[in-house]
Formats: sequence, structure tokens, C-alpha cells
Amino acid sequence: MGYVAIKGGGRAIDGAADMLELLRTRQGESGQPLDIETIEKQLYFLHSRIVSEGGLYHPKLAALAIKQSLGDTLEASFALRAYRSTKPRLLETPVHDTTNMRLIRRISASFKDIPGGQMLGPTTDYALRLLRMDLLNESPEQFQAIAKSLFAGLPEHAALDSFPKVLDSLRAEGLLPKVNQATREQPFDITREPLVFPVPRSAALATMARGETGSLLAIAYSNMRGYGDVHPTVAELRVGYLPVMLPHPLTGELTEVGEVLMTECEVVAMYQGDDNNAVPTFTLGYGACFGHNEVKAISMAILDRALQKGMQDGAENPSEDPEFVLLHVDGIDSMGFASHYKMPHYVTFQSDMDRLRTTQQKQEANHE
Amino acid sequence: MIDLIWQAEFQQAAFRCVLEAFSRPGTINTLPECQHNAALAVLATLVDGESSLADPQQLLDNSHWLRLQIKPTAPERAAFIFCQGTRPVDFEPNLGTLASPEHGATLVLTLDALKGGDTAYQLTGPGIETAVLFAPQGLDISWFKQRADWNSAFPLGVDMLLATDEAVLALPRSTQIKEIN
Amino acid sequence: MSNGINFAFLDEYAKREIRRSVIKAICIPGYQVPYSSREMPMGRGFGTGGLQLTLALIGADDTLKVIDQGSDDSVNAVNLRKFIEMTCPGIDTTTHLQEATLIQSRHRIPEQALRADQILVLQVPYPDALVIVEPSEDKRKIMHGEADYSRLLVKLYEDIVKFDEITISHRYPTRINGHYIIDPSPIPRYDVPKLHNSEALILFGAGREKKIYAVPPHCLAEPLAFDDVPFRIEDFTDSHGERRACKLCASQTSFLDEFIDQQGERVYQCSDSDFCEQQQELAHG
Repeated sequence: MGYVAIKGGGRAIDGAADMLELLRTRQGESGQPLDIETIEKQLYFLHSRIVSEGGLYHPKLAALAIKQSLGDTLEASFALRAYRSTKPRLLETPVHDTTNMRLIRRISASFKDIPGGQMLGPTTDYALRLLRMDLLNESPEQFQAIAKSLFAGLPEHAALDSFPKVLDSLRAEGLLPKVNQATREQPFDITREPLVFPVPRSAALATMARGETGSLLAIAYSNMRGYGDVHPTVAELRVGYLPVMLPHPLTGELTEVGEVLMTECEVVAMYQGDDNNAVPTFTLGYGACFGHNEVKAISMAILDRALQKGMQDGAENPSEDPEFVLLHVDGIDSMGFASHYKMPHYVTFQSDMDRLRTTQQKQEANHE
Repeated sequence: MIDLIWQAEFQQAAFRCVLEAFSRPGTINTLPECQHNAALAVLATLVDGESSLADPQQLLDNSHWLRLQIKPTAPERAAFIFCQGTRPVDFEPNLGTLASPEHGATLVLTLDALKGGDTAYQLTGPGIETAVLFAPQGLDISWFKQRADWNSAFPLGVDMLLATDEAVLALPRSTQIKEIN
Repeated sequence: MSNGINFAFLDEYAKREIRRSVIKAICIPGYQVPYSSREMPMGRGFGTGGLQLTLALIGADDTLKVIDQGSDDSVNAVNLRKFIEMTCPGIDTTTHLQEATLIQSRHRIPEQALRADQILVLQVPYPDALVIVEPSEDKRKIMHGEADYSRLLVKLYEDIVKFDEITISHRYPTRINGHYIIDPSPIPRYDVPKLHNSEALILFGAGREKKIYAVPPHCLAEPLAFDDVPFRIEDFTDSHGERRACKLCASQTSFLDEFIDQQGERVYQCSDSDFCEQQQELAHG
């Protein structure tokens, strides 16, 4: 008898890959392979989540990642992230102003009437979560007919190209701290530098921007429920397409190279006095990520506020502790490590048994 | 045809040579064929736009900087400092901090020869089984004097790589140097 | 290159960053050098730190050995080896320790001594030995810099008071070159003495925790202990006081895996499969 579970590793891996491929294709002839564009368009929110957590805005490869991972969000983001490791960085964008976003949705919870107006856009917020049984058997014809009738009702110019930010009006009123241009640091690049604490706010924002949605939500929720006291108001949540500008390789002039779908959330929290008797103002939290991921952007904005408080006054709750939050929200890191416990640990377990047996023997000897 | 030293395959082999040098301080390690320019080959292997390099004696020309995809940094802030070892020290390098000693600079010094010099030094420390002798030619005496100051509070300090046309020899901060007569 | 993938997967910037970090790790023995740690196409925790080191080191003239739990044929070792073979055309792989120039391992240092022309890369899940006494990395970095390990020693001492033994079974804290204490990765205590005065360079890579550290050749490596409670390796003596032997090669010196055979008997085998096979070949001529 050879090595019990350990031998034949190569064959086992090949077999496992085959089984997974069988699982993916088991509909056989009656099945249609998922079309990449169908994934991108009809699994829109899933797709949004993958570009965001994968940290790479590549809609086509994100759809491929979803297809190949059978819809597992962690695995799909992981594949996209690993693809990123093989590509050198050729150019860097300057800081972008999200005022220029081409919006599909924009709301404010703080004011009924905001400059440019509220724009509900595509949302499930007010939908009744009743299962629509008619979708069980939707024909391509029905599908096309819906689209056709909806398009017919659209005005030619759906919305303005750019909207002023709600925060600007609060700032003009002196309710928010002024933007301090002097403290605008060069953003921390989490893909090139490890997080060595303490880290600047830009490192925290970048980490959360590609964080795992559920992890961010769980920690932000702990703050909302009482392990913290941010008590946020959503000043503005906007979803839309941001034009991406890059310096022209020859002239250096900024040139639009495309656009990315993104979600941005700005929350306002209760004011903070400081020791210097300065005029008190509201405080801010900021969240932004690729794709249409509202819960993620809101969670991130709340955590940004909580972390700023923790960085300034010391953490009193887990959600205010930068090390606790930032080292535990990455889906690729956490899922990898959770999975690694399935690997053999024979050697370490042998050592554990040795220590336990030795201490047991000593205790027994002492009792005799 | 891109010069050999800018190619990935060369840099992999050159890195292994540099790695061997740092693993075994005081040993002379011949780089793979590098057109008599071991020091530049080392920079090509280790430095790029995501690191920083100082050239206080202006030994590099514009084409080198373009190839390295980097702009010169002041020696006080640079991760790598490139100098002729035959000239005296005239800067204060970054020594790192207690929490981040890896920020202590790497000095790449050019020399005519790594053996046969008049003064011999005994090296001990990690990477050296008992002791090894080292007699560089033409190294200005200020370097080891300064090195002793810079490296007086381990883990802070600088790491040195001495390069001739063809070969390199490393003196990490963990190496103890004693002059022998 | 097949699939349009770079030789050794990583782009050249990523390799250079790892190479710079490795050199600092050697210059400051036992210090955990932070690096950016790219995402690899296998799970964090499956050896991505070791893998990134291997990929930054490897060249077409290398011969690679990959082991997990001492075995070349465990699923994870096979998986890593296949990936490296796929992305590094031209390299050789081997299961024979003596043929290898580069060895990547999880949880073991090979049974036989390494040579000066070999490099051992160990995969690390938890790089910091201080994590059991201090959760904040910010504070741990200062403690390491000052070589302030008093709280770790207190922890060991409390163990002795409570159990009359140091209960740390693997990942045994080991002091390198008289300064930094490392987590030597989950190798058994049996392997810890091999870190001391090793002929080969030993590199440690933690992918998820983004750290690289090193034990240079011929470097002092001392497992923590007290004068009256010495460091002890795993005990393989049976109830008659005899050292247990491997049931395949009869070695009475190797680290053993214990398992229950189909008759329900507890049996022991070498954990290092290459060593075990070489011993069997020697015995049968």
C-alpha cells in the first residue's frame, strides 16, 4: 500500500478538471452555451460585481470569467485578477472628476430637490420582490418586443451630459469642510505597494474599491447596528459612465480612450467638533467602484467615514480599525485561504499529535 | 536588436548571479556575458520605474535613463545609488527605519578589480561559513569608514554591490568587515 | 509563448520587484520584506508566495522539484509543478532532490541535506511569529525592529507553567542571526535545526500576507527555548523505547507520517517520498 491520499495527484487533478467541465456542459445537446454578450447584458449585476471585485475593467473577459467559473463570484473575480498579473502597466490616468459622468441613475436622500434633479433610473429599490412566473418561459420574440416598446418611449436626449454634485452645494453653504488641495497626496497604489500600516486614506479607498461586496457589507452593517456611530445620510449616489482620459503617448495631451461604468456614493455624517474651536461641519464618507454595485458603494462610503474616524481618534470598533477592515475585505485573499484548509496538513497534524500526546503523558504521570 | 542586458532572459540569469553574490558575501561572481558592463547590467536587472536610482557622479547618459524608464532621484531618497568606488563618498544614503529597514539603500559601486589590492579585509557574518578574505583594488578608503557608521545600528544600514567589467561581489549590511595587516 | 503568457507568468516589473525584495531579505536575515504580491491563478493559501519567488528566480537551465508534505505527487505539488512547467518552457523538473537546482516546498525541508548550488523556497501561510501575542502589524514591526520578543517568551513560559511543555508543535519561532524571530513556515520541529548553518539559501514567500524573508546560507538559526526546557523535535519512540521505523524503507531517522492501515493498525511511513524511495533502492541494490 502506498501513500494513501497523496499518491496519484496528477491523475486526480485531471479527473477533477474533467468533472467540472462535465458539470458545466451537462445539459448536453439540449443546452445552449452561454453567449458572452448575454452574460454581460442579462446578468448585468453579476457582471458588475466581477469587474469591481476583479479590479479590472474588461467587460468581455469578466463575462468569460463568469462563464468559466459557472457563476461563482469569488472564482470569477479571481480569474480576472490573475489575468491582471500578466499585464504590464503602460500608462497612468490622472485623477478623474466624476462630475463628468454620463449618468443612468442619480439620487439624493438628503434633499428632495437637487440641482439637476433626482433620476431614479434602473433600480430594484421599489420593486415588489414577487417572482415573475412569466419569465420562466420567455420567448426570444417576447424579449425583443419588450425592448422595442420601451425604446419607443424614450426621448431623444435622455439626460444631461453632466450633473453638478450635491456636495458642492453643501460645501458652498459652509456645511462641509473645504477641499484641502494641499493634502491631495499622490494616490497610494495597492497593486504595486503592500499595505504597511498606517496607510493613507487613498490606500483604504483603493482596497475597498475592489473588496468583496459581502465582506464590506457585513463590516459596514456592524457599524450601522451599533458597533460604531457613523449614522450616514446618502448625499448622492450616482451610477453612470465616466469618460477615461489618458495622456497621448506622443503629445502628452489628455485624450478620451473609452468609458467605464461605475457607481459612486457620498455620505454625510454628523458633524465633528475639534479641539481648535474651528467651526463644526458635517463629515464625509466616499465610496466608488467599477460597475453598478450600489450596496457596495454605500458600504464603502460608510466604512471610509468609520476608518477616517479610527485613523484620527483611534479605533473603538472593528469597523474603525484600518488593519481589521482592510486586511479582511478582499475576496480573493479570504476565499483562497478558506479553501486552502482543504489541502493536506498531515505533517503539521503529526506535530500537533506529538505535542498533545506528550502533554497528556506528562499530566497522567503527574496524577499518578 | 536590443542590447542583451535589457532582455528578460539575461536579467533572470544576471539576477541569479547577484543573488549568489548577496547569499555568499565576499565571493566573486561572474555575470553572464554583458559586454563589459556589469554595473549597468545589474541596474538593468534590478531597477525600473517602480524603484528609484541616484547617480550623483553622473555616470549614466540619457539613453540609459530612457531604458531604465526612470528619472534620477537625490541620493538621500534613492533605493539604488550608482557610484565609482574609486572616488570618495559625498552623500548620505537612506538607511531605512526600525520598522522598515528594507528602505536602506543598495549602493552599486564600480571598481577595477575585486582582488589583488594592497589592503585586505576579513569578512564574517551570514553567508560566510567561517571567514573570507577580500582585497579590492582602488576602493576609496572613505567607503568602508562611512559604511561602518551607516551600518552601526542594525537593522538599519546600506547594502553594497561592487562591480568590475564582468563580475560582482556583495557586502550586505549583515557582513562584518575587519581590516587586516 | 503559448496562450500569450509571459515566460514565468509574471510581467517583468513584478519579477524585478520580487528580486529587489529577495535581496533585501537576504541582507536583513529574518526580516519580513513587504512586497506587492500579484494575484496568481491559484488560491491564496495554496503557495502563491512560494510560487512568485520560484517564478522570479527560475530560468530555462533550472531543474525544479516541487513537494507538499514531503511528497512530489500530492495534488497541490502536482498542480504547482504543472503550472510552472506550462509557463516556463525549457525548464526541467525532477523528483530527485540531488538533481534539483530549485526546490519549492510546503510544510517540509527535504530529509537529505541541501547543497550550496540549490535554493529552497518555502510556502508560508503566516509569516509573523509575533501574531500570537500582538494582532496589530504596525506594533509588531516595531517589536521586530527592536528585537523585543519578551511577550513571545512570556507566552512560551506560560505554556511551561500550564503544561510542563512548550506546546508549539510546528511553525516553531526561530531566531535568525541573533536578531529577528521568524515563523519558519509550518515545518515540523524536526526540520527546524536544518535552518541553522544551511549550505543552501532558504527563501520564504507569503503571498496573501505579502511578505518575503530569508535565511541565508551559513546563518545562525536558533529555535526559542529556555535553559531548563530545551527545544525538542517530535518524538517517534514507541512504548518499548525504540525509535519507530518507516514500514517501507525501515529508516529510523526520518520524519514519519502516521496513519491507520486497512487492518486498523497504526503504521508509519517516511513523509519525504523521494528519500524513502532512494532508501528502498539502496536496500535492494
